[in-house]
Amino acid sequence: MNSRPLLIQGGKVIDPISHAGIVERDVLVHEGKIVATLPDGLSPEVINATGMLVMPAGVDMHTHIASTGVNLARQMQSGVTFAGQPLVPSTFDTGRLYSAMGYTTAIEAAVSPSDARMAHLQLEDTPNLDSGILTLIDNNETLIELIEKKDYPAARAFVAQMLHCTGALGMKVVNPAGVASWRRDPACSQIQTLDQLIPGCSYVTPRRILQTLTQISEDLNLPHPTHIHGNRLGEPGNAQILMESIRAMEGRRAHIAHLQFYGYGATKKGQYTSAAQELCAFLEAHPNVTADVGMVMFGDAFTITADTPLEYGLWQRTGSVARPAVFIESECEAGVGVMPASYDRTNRVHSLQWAIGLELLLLAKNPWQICLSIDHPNGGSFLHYPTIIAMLMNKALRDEALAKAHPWARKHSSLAQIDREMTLEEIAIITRAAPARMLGIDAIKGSLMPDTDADLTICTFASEDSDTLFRVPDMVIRGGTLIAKCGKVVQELPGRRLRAKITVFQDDLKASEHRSVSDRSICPTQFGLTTGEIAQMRQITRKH
Amino acid sequence: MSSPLQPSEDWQQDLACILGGVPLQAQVRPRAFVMGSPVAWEDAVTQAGDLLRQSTRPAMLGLHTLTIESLRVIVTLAREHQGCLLPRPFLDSPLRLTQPITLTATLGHLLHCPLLLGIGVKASQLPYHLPAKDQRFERLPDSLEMVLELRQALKAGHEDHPFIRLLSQQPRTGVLLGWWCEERVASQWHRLAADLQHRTRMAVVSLPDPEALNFKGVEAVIAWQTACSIATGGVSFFSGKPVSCSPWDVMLTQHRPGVVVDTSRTTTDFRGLGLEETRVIRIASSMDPTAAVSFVVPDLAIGTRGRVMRFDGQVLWLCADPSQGQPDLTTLLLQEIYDASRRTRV
Repeated sequence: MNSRPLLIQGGKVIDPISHAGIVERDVLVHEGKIVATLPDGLSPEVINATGMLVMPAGVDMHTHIASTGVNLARQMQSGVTFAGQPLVPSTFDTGRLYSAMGYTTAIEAAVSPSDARMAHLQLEDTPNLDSGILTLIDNNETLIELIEKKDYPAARAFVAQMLHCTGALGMKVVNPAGVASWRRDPACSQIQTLDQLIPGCSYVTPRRILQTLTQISEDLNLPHPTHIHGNRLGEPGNAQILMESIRAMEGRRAHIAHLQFYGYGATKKGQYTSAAQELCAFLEAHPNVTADVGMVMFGDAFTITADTPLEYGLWQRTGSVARPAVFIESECEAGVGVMPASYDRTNRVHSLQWAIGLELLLLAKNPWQICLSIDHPNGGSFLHYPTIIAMLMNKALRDEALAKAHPWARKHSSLAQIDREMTLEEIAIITRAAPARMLGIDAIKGSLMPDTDADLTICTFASEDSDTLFRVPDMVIRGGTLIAKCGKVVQELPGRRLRAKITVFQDDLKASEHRSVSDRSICPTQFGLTTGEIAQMRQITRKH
Repeated sequence: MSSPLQPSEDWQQDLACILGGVPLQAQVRPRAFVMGSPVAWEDAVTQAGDLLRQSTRPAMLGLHTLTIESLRVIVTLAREHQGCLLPRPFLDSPLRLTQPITLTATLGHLLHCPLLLGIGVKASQLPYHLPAKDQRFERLPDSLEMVLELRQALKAGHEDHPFIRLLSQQPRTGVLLGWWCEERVASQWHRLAADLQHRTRMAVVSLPDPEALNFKGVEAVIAWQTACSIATGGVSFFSGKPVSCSPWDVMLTQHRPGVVVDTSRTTTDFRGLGLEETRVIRIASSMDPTAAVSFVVPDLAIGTRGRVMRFDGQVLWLCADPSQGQPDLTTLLLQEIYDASRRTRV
């Protein structure tokens, strides 16, 4: 933290959370925070930002930068690079690259409980980024058994215990009931309906898991609602089951991960079409739900997912002979599949996926409801963000790219007909303010209001080159300290990890403790973070 | 001689995470030696720091005896001195690179498989709790010919083959490979598991070599800190950036190190490798009289405080009470050596 206060003078400030539009004003920083005034007698260091844009730093709410799956990808990626970097960079380079691009917060979106310690160690080695993890919970056999017994208090206590001892910012649901069904029955590779029973259960279905976990999220008062990777990801016509899942939540808060992968309608022959318009209209009618888009970009990617049946099926369909892949199932609690991938503009499905991502962001009337993500490295590297932003702000660029893509994308999406060009303020919403708000961390991130963290980017604006604007900001400040200048990291600071304040229901704990400790070869006392480690993390409380 | 790092009773801890296979050993008193003679701990640290500062391309060997915390320091040491990391196994099988798929599971998964196949493994060699009373255990030979024959029978659709009939009746099957199994055998069993996934969920797990200790941790820490795989044998920082390398590249060609930091339990014969001039800083549970500097510290088998990776890559606590975590002695020592190597001699 810079001990001397900072005065960022004369910049055009974009701070969507303050609802002020773009205004020319000074920004004051003291002790790592934005402040309204300085204590008497302190003279600040002045940064002349006249004519420059001053924004909160970027927040990537759904990325994969620290877990067993990510680490396997690092080991498997031999020679796969993007922009001169390994596609899945080391933890150190991940922090450097994000921060050089103006991002200072990133959330690892899928960590199995027994993986949590390693994920935190990796995040500790990721400089310049504040970070957090979402703990995988829904296919955990203990939880499934508790739901089967209709023992809601024990299920709630179990989830609370797992989130607490893994230091999680929130809970992640992946293909609810799907992974457990696949685990229990090799012939069950995919969930067909929300009311399909898990083999061996007479009560537990995807619907009941979603209802239970969204209710637990409300009861625990989590800052970030249940983060959902739904059923049938990537399949034609899957927008229907996603909408049914949202209805099943009955108005409770939820966040849909990588929405693009559910943005598919189907032709009569079962081929992919875009369902972006229908999904956007549906989300508008369901303000309890937010989403990150999960763009895909042409080129190399690495698929890393806890949806092991999906990944296994994908591996079988797309090159099981030539492609290396790893599938891990951990202690009947969660798993991961890892496989290299490539999005090809001559492939009609890949082209349509790319188009749907842009459609969803451009068709959403409320930019606070769908934010930008690429699900790094599933949709490609996070270093694609500036290019995506440039396309959102410039129809001509989009049209040029669409012309090079497979004609299927033009025919089966509405992208060519969309004239909207996003404004800078809208970009600031989908890359900064909205993801911070969705995560429940907007009291400290994604804003330049007093008392928020002094994480900001300062850049020279040239309207014709928004790619450079967001790729190489003039200055990136984190916690009041200059960390990057013109795309070069000038200082590496340790990041802080963010975790939710968890209300543990003491009275409900007995049953869940007994189950988790006695019946598993892993248990919180073996993999959980220490009290000291938990205390060092920054605790996030839900804002009302 | 004095030791600034006093051992405590906490060193003797349970080691349940190593599948219960590593016996507890007697507590080791930390000591330091230079060319076999006892010296003060601080002097040995200074000497080790000097050696590293003056060296070009130092090599870090062993590593599997270290905790995650120690590994994080030793990777930093290699990076700062543009050295290399050559974890055990010292000269690895190149066949590791050709394995196309790994379908694996953990002990917890195996505990729920009704059928267990031990490939070259006797029941007496199984980890604790296996086989459970409701589990059937069958021993099969660890031969390449046999697994190839099974794959062939499966491919040809010989449903009456006794093995295929047996597997088709099982929803889940655990396959336990001995750590001595040849890589080609392991690879073929993984392939067979992939072929069979729609009939039975087959989990293929190589039993950990009791001597492998924290090798999974080595793989993980090096991967996250360098984005490189150690499948080729190691990672070097010779050009400033980490790249995968082979021990042959490092030890026997133009990159031969003048200094190695060796944490292996057994002494490496550097003369046998044609590296007579190599000076060794040895950090192990026994004294090495041939090393330039030798530190005697408890290693993982002795129950240092810290954490290790479970055999499937998960991290577990070594100490019984996770609320009391603190760095182990080796981590502190490596940090001291690192600091000493950055100091200018007065």
